[in-house]
Amino acid sequence: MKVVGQSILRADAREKVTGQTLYIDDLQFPGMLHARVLRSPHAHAFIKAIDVAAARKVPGVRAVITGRPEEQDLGGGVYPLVGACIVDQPPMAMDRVRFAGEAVAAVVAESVAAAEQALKLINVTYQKLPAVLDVREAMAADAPLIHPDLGNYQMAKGFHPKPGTNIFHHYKLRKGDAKKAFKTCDVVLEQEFSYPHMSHVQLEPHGALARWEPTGGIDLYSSTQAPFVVRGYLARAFRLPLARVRVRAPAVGGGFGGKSDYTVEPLTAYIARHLPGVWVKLILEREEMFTSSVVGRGVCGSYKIGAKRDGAIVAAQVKYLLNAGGYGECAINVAVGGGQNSPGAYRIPNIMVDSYAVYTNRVPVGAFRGYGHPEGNWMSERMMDQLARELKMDPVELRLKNAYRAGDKNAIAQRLHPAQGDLPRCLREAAKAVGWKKGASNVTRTRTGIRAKAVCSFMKSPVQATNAQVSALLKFDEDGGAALIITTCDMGQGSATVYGQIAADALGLPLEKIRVLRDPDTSLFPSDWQTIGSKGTYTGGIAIIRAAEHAIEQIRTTAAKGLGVPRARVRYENGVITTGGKKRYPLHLFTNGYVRPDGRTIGGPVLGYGVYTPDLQIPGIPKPGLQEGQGKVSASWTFGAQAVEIEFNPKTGRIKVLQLVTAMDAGRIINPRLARGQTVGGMVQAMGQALMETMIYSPEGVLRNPRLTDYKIPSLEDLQDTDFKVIFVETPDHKGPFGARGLAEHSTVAIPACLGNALANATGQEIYQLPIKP
Amino acid sequence: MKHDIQLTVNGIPRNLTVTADDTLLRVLREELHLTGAKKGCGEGECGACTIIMNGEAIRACLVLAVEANGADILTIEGITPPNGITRVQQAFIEADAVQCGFCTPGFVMALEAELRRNPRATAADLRNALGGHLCRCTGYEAILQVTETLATSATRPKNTKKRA
Repeated sequence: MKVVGQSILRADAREKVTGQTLYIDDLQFPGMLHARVLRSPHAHAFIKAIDVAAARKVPGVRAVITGRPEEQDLGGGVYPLVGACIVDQPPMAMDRVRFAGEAVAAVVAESVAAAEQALKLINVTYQKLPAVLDVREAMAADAPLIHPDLGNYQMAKGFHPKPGTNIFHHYKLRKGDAKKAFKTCDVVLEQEFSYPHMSHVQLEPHGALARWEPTGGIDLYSSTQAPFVVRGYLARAFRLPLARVRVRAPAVGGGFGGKSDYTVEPLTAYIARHLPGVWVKLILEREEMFTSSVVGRGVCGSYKIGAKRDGAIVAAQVKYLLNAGGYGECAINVAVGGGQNSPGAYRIPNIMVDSYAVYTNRVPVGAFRGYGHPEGNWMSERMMDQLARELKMDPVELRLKNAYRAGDKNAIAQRLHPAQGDLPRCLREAAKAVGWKKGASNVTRTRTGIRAKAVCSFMKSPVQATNAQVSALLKFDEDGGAALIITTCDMGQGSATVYGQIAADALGLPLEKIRVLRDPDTSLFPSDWQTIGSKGTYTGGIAIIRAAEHAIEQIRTTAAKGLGVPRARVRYENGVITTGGKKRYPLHLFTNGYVRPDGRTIGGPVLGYGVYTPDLQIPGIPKPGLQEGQGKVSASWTFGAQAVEIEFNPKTGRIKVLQLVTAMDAGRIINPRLARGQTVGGMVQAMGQALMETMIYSPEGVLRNPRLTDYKIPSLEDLQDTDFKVIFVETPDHKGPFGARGLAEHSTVAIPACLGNALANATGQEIYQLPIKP
Repeated sequence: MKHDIQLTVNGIPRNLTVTADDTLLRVLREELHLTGAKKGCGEGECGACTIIMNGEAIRACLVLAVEANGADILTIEGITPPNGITRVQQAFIEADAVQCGFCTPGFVMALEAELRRNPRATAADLRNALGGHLCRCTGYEAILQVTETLATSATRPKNTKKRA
């Protein structure tokens, strides 16, 4: 039976509902010690002195560690700076702090309680510096410099920092000539927008367990989406060969991008380095998840759109300013991905995007579900509705008129393949599902408030390194089953389930014969860049199918030699080998060598290997025949449309969300139930971002709401009256596994703009800042 | 200051020495190695540490170990039958109300407590029992489905009851 396309139950559900799944904080080792970290109370300051004498005397304390340069020196003035695209962050603050919450010292003790008691006795003398919190202030010529060494940092190719400023990357995208084109437009509109900083609020806090090996290497467990990337960061920072660093990932309790790149791993490894041979565990408290981890969003900017009277969009100009916080590595590519996709899912002949990644004295920003796309979408889709109003056109019709179609060249000059999805159909489906009436106001008054609807487009592509490979191994058992070994981390998105389905069908075997390993280990598992960008199913699926093909070739070779027939005659189908005659040989005869009647064995255990390598170029490097910022920089797009219906109560100001709709062309859906779960979950996260969530800073740059009591996320009560509609338009992808594309982040992208537009329809109030406060 | 306490945990009597500020959650997780209850926030705001104490669903991060002296405690490890799963657990699997799974034991224990207390609980009763439980993955649609399923099966006559 074929399983691709079926709603197979989640592979790890039973383990999870019985509480047996092990997450990072569930791991304990003999002799393990606990670390707690002292955090800077200031957003920007020099560290003048640290007194740890009293802390060292607390019973149970085994080490007190600071980040002072002499302590971080690996030898000869080499410091363990962390980064790949921009190498700018020490594991612990050295001589200055750049955000309130940055690690300044740590205590390792026999218990968390002892470590916390000792933390209180550490005395740090700071010299405060002016804090820069606003991105435009940080870009001003006279702004205090947060990284005076910006010009000296090691950086990857294609990034354009401006030494002597706080701008650590400027991504430019040019298509046509927007400046000229605006002069030919009948209508030009421009507006400023902002999307605040937010916390991912994964229910599981960040954590890592590290042990410095006697041979000088690092053995580390982490709640991570990115074991191989973490290994790379640690090896580069601590000047170790990759073979001396081992990273393992237990179950991940929610990622949403916040556990990609690096989180607490460099800090934990740095702390553990002081106690060689001992396992040191660091688990962040919830408050630290807000103040001292990687957070998301933090974009403001402007969108200018120009169109002809008939609704044809002629030009768009986007300014995209990423308030990246104190360090840049996790943020730098958000500015690139956000910039690339910010003009929107429309055929616009003239585009000008300037995207800036800017240091400020806030908590560092990193990936957050949607990776720069929801921010751009918030601008472009709010503008589309205003353009429709200005042109007196139906907003859905305006979108349909301009929507990308097969054959179009997009902003970065990649031609869209007919199999890359059908945006117009998604728009029609979303409009139909929400009950949109063409040409009507779509606003009604009820006893309890004003009901209004909105429909928006979205598109998303994974933003990935050009060498972001995924590899898969299929290791066969003696009974003809196989273990699938692939590093892609399942943090709840369901990759282990979907991968099992892909492997089962690629091999023509029943699902029960495939064991999908879920505990990645960089020393045992084949390489996989990281689990991000909704690329798992697409890239991992391709690698799995290739591994299956490779395995089948080995099986055919063993069968041909073992049975003494020409290889060309050996056929494999659904776990059965035939050689042209009636005889059907079961697979298990050939998976671990074929044993002849006399006992002689031909061939060996089958190990299928498959790899996916993207065919991509670096965005920031000029390419012949293309304009600035263009090129083959995205492997696939997923297009879709979303819609909402709200009821606004003018007396209370309350917005009730009645309908959340997504119509998405993610190609063939491997598992409809899991795909729906992802889509609904994403819509609710986006609803929270649009209506509830924001990180509030004091003027000095201290976070005022770093707790779940004050930072509210959607709860069950908020969703009791919401009707979810999810429609999958399944245009099979021409390259994806069984025709599939990525879908995990996408449903977060257009919901904020839908809600903003619906509120504008209901009240005439135009909101440009999130969260929406009517 | 150390205190000796006695607990019954999942039917097994336990004698423990704890400190005055030890939470029940830490003792269960680190001393008894019952790691099914999770620490998501440490201040009773997320529900991931929910267990059953003397028949009531409680947040183990808010209860001091010394306060639990003499209590009868059930954790998710204790409700799961050796060769099967409970009706609540089955409903979570079938509705795909589980994604990352970190909040799941807390949700399961809250519903388990409510159904033990009130076998004829309505969907509204079950939703109320989940007040203050946070899930960041599912968007709650599937969890709301679980409350419907359990309410339906709870009110169904016994002989037609769906077996887990």
